[in-house]
Amino acid sequence: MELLNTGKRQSGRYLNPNRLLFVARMLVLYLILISGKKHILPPFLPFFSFLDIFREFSWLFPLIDWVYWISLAAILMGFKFQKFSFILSILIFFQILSSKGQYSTSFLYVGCMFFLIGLFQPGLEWTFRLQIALLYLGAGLNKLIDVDWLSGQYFENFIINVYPNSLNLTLASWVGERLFAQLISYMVIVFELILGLWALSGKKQALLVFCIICFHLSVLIFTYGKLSFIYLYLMSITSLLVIPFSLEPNQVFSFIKGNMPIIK
Amino acid sequence: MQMKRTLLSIFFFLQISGVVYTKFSPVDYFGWVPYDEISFYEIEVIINSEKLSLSQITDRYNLPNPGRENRSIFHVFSQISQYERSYGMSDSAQVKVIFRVNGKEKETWNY
Repeated sequence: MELLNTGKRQSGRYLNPNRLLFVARMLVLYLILISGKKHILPPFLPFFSFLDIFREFSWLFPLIDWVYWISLAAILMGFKFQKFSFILSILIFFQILSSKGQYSTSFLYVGCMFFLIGLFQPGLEWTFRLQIALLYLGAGLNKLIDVDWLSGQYFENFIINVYPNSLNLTLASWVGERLFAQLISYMVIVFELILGLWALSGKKQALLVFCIICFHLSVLIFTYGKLSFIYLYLMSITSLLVIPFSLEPNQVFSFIKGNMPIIK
Repeated sequence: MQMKRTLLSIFFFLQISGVVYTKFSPVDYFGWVPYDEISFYEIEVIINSEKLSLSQITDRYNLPNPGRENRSIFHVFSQISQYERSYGMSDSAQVKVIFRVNGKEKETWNY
């Protein structure tokens, strides 16, 4: 495992490679158990029409499936997990780009995280913070310029028609549905923008992780468990990568000696 | 390390471009915008004066019908029009989507 042997020591605080492997494993579990992504499918309505060429090679997809499953297994076993994370990210990007129907923000996010894990080495800790920042800033900025979010229309519909429950209907009855919807909208926008900027700042990252978990947990409670479970899972797991971590004593020894630290 | 930095620069540049692009476009692909618009829709397709069944339409576009779109209703339009311009071009299908965005009035889109 080359993680600790290649980069220059800058601050004495590194991302623990065991944590990197843990996150990769949890993302594999997401793919298999939660999203149920068990195959790489042939192109159908691709973002780039040239990808339709691959429809002609039907023999290719069982082969790609093998690579997909070998990558998943290798990551779970901790065998060259960075290389296989990189391969997996390429397969996910291919799947999304070759089929519009396969596009989902969470699937793309998982692909991005595998990509960053695959390329990671000490000194590149900022990449995870930037990825999380982009996710929240993209979401927050889009809401900020959306008329339905600013007027409360989005959340009014959300509360009454999409996810009605006794909790949010009671809360809405106290101040009026539209005002309540507007309050929630502004809170979500402000929270997402703050989370994005906070991730960029690199300060108090452990507290940031706690706030990210609280944010998604509150959405889960607000919808009585019907929304945000996937994001709660993904963000709880991947935000662990933004917390700086000192080297364990045995890893420092390995680092000095130039030995490979053991990753279980 | 230089190669990695180059790859990462391209990777993040593409993402930032996606975020900026979606702010000026009705489609929200690659802009990190989950659950920003909730639309309910129903698709109707007529080919050679024959109306397709709901399941035939689902199979045709690989979209649930009736369905719900959690990002932008333009994603549904994009998939339908791309299908009709490519795989389904010889069918000369007439497509109608009846949809409702964020609980507002019903609207119709035709291809």
